[in-house]
Amino acid sequence: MASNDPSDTGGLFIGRRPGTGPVRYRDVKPSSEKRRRYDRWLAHALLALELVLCLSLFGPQPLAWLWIGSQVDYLTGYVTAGISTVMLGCLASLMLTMAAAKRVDHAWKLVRRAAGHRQEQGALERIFATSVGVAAVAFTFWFLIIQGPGPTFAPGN
Amino acid sequence: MGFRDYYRQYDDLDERELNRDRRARREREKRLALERLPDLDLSGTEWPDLPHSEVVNAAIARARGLVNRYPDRYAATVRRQLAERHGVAPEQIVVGNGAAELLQAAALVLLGRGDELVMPWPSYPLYPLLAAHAGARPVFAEPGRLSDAVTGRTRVLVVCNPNDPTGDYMRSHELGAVLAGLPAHVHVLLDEALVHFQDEEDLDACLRLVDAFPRLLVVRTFSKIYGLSGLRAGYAVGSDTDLLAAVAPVLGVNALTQAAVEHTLRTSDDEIDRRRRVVSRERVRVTEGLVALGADVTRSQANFVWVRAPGLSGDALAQALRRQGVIVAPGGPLGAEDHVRAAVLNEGATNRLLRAYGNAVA
Repeated sequence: MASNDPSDTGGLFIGRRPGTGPVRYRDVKPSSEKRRRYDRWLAHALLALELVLCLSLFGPQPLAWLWIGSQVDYLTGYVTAGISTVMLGCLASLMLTMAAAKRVDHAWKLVRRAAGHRQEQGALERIFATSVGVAAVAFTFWFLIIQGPGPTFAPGN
Repeated sequence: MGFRDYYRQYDDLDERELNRDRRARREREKRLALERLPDLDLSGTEWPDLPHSEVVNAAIARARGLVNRYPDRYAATVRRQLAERHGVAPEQIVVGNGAAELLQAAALVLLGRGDELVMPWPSYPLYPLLAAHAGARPVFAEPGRLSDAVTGRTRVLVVCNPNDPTGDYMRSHELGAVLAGLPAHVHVLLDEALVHFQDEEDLDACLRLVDAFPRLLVVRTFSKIYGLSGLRAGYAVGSDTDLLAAVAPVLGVNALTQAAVEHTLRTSDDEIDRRRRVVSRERVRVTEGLVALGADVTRSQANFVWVRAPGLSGDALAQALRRQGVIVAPGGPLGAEDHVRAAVLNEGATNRLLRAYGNAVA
């Protein structure tokens, strides 16, 4: 009788290590075509929401915290308080955003399965990497073309 | 079904849920494995447990040494240890490859074509073969009347003490009387392979007779209570140095066996005492239990009992016990068709044997 109990096998693990097995989920009876069409639309919407959440980390959120930090600086008269607010605020919203994105990603995975796809993994990693790429391109465009790095490269600014 | 519940049914199965069926199946298999008792083999007379790991280590350590050289052909260390133990001179001891080989060598030395080897019967089935190999004739005697079977052609009297398979023990004064009455042309081979299991008298009571009777050769083994059957080690004690030299193996005993025996003689006395006590206690329990169930049981002094079930042949009793998961040795090949020999091991084995016997004769 096969066993992966090390006490039965002279200390050796036989077979797959815990936590490395393939993803398994219930074999649910397929829903109607109308419902699956709706689920596909919902999955696209959730994916877009994930992308928006990730992109917000590279522009809107830092800008928002810079504005809040400037207000704290203005109201308290301490630059340190303003900078600290920006740093801690960015960090907190990053973690909250990623937690929210993870939940959305899990929901997306379930909706994709409901739509009839064999969806084993979420898309958050790829979405995050894509958003980093989009943010990098956007920043480069703004920095080099719109704002310009300095008078030598763009003497008109 | 609610909105969230609809999608939750597509969620991953966790390990616990995934393995629920497998765990249930494994539990069933474990339960069945625990309920099923393996057969209990009581047909042999060797010790059932593995030797102490240090004894095995001693042999392995020697194997990793100079095994390209010949071993000490005289096994001087083992002989010195045994001599101290028995209170004899080392020259009175030879070490051989098991008691059987020493007995065979002695038979070849002492017997010639047409001579007779007398033995009580039933007894150890090897003895008639000893005579046959030496070209002699085996003579079966009534236990207790050995001297009556001795004739002018008798050269050897072999006594298994305690006797296999009956477990009878001949005390030293009885043996002394037999020895004293034998003519000068008869040697006695005393097979004490099972002597450690007797509790009637001192362990060396019969062995000490070698000083008074030069024609007595006592043979012992490390295969029974010492549990080293696979290493083939035994020794002979006597006072006829010519006979001892003649029965000794030509190039001695292998180095691994010598190492294991040396170590076991140094370290195993407590364990041997424990085994003796266990067998002695369980032998009483088995005997009394079987007698209470109507069996005819000899008062054994060995690590087995010799049993007869009234109305059943030995084969029938052995088969009935086999169906109960207990394997015993049928008495036919051992000298009595209506008996079986059952080893005495431990409390659990005793309980199973008694239960099986009760069911077999019910």
